[in-house]
Amino acid sequence: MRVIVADDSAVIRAGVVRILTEARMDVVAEARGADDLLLAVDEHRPDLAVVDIRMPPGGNAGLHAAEKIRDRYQGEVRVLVLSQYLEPDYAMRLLGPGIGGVGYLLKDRVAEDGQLIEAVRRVAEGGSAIDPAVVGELVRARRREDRLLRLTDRERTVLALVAEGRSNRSISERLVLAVKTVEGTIATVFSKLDLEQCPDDNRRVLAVLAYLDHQS
Amino acid sequence: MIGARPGMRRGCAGAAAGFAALTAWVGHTQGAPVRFLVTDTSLGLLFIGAGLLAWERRPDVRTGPLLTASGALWFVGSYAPTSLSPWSELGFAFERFYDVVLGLLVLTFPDAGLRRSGRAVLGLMAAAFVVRAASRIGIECGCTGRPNPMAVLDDPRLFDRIQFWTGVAIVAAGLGVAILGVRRWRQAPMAAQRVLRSVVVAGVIAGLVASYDALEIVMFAGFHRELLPFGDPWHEVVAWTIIGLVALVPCAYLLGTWWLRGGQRSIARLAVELDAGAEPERLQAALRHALGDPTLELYLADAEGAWRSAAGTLTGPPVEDDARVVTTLEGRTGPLAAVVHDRALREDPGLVAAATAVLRLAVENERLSSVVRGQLEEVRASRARLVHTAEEERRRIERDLHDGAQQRLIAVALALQQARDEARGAAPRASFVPRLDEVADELLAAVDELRELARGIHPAILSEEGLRPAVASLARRCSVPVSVDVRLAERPPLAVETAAYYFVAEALTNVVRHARAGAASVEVSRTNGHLVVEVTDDGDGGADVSRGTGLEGLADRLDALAGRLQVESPPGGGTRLWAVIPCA
Repeated sequence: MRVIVADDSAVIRAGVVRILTEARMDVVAEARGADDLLLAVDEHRPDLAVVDIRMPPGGNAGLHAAEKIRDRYQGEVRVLVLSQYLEPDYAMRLLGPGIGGVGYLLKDRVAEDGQLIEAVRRVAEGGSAIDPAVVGELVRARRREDRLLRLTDRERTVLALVAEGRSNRSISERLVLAVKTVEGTIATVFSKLDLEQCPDDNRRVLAVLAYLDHQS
Repeated sequence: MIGARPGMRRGCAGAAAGFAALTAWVGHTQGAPVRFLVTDTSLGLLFIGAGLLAWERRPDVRTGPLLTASGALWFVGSYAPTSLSPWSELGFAFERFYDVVLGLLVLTFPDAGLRRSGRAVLGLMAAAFVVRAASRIGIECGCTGRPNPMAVLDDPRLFDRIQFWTGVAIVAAGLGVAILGVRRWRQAPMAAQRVLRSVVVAGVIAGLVASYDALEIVMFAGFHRELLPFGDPWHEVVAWTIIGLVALVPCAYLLGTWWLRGGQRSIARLAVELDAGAEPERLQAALRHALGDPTLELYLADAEGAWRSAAGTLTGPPVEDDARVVTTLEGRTGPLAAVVHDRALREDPGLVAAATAVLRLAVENERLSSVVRGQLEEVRASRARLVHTAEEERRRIERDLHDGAQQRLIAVALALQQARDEARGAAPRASFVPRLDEVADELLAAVDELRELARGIHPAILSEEGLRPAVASLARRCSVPVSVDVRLAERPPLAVETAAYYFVAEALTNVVRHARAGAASVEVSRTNGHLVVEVTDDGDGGADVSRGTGLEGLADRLDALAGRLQVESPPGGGTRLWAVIPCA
């Protein structure tokens, strides 16, 4: 897998590159800023760009570049944004129309075993990866809502994992459950929340997040 | 001023009463009819009483002393019909001298200067009285039936001639006083007219009575005929009519003095009017009304000594002309204001003094409040700057935390992770490996806390992305569904944006905490140079800003930006909170 890493901090960039390389990924280019990144993406057409949200020339240039890449390459080049902000708004913006191949991960996950690689893989496969803390933030705000209160603890856990962008398989591995059980639980959750079941994982993420986000 | 000392007033009162009592007693011993005594004493006392009363009410004008003096002079004439030589001759000589005093009163009431015409008329009258008195002392007339002990001449013809011509002069002067009095009234400004009306009536009566009396003498001395040859019943009627008219004179003066106090009622009204606000034009209008001078102009001096008209245009210092005079109000450091008004208002200095006193209060008040307004403006501006600086500072700290400390901690966590991986490879069973895991967890917890801290200091999404995403983010975190409608073409200044953001944050916190609402909405728009932020919910209502809802702090922050916070929260009818912040 060919990856571009963009971060203005050399230390963090080196750390990310190391983790990716150890996972046998091919880092084809590194970028220090948003403009560098866009040029490098255009030149190398990687499978994935891992992008720091804050980069030169300033502000959330990384986020804006990520949106540009998503729109310009329509899922052909996937984007994982590393952010220091626990900000659902940014994640929702990145998910956009729900074509998948995007991710929003808190930067500190980089230093947690396996988290970055897992998210990179999911995004690279065309799925979505939303940081559990971001999902947690949305769920926490909704915790007093009647329909969410009707869910069991396990159902709520499954809902959060769905919102993170995980596939049924990933969820079943994570919770050490049979895929069938997971599928059943998801069906229950969706019916309890009056959500329409959809086969596409990305649309499913969007539906759940939209539900949590009150925009439904 | 003469009447400013109450002791003098009391002395005069005592002297006048003593004189009146003495005169009455003398009349009684002389066998004067009781009817005459009572009438004569009452009339004299009426003058004295009215004089003393006017004196007490308005010690600052001449009316009181003059009226009292005329009362005293009244009793001088009462000695004429007695047989006490030389008091009888002296009384005869000085009878009706009070007419000069009354003439002076009508032409100067209450405190005006005497014009040239007035001086001429009164001079003529006084001269005639003096000449007549001299003739009555120095010439034997044989008209009392007793020899005049002071006479140096015995010439009845000369005596009659002098009585005739002085009589003519007094008739003319008496009529002159009446005419000048009426003219004075007609030329007076409205406010003064009201005051002068009764005085002029008194003056005309006094002038006409003086003329009538002098005319009788003229007829007798010149033609040896009576003025009204209709016999005794007519004498009686005329005598009583004159007594009645003369009795009106002191009453009218007293009334006039009372009206002077009435002028102070208009000052009270002036004070009330100025209570509603002391803008120069309002001041001018109120003064015009109070002083009854529609041509009055007000000029105000500023601290640098420049003069401005009431309309605010710069002018030179106000000047006097033939018709108008300037009354200037001096402050501690120079002139405060000047009133250009009708010269005639000088006739009531008390009224003008009272009006200017009120004016002084208003002008000084206005000056003070404009100083305070200026200071307030400065304080407000500096507070706005402080808020702005504080916000910039918080924003800088937030950035430093995110870009500096947080990045560095993450870099350290990464290095630690690598070290841990290497350690696992080199010494998988070493006891420090799990310790490294603990340290890494601690480090990530620190990153988490730092992120929360930074967000508490300043919301990055607000400075980076603007109000719409920031408010949307607040709405997302809110447990009540919130619809967001932010209509802004461009971003407001940082301080305004931040105030709006915290306003929404606090309002939504209140919705969740107190309102038991099913839904809420946030609307942000810009109208007429103001940012309008409105947060509405469908909850219980009955919110009270002053009761620990966390809104007071917000109100302060808004106030620093000259913004306003308003609440509409009828019990059971939901709550509507809105903030209006100026943003040019």
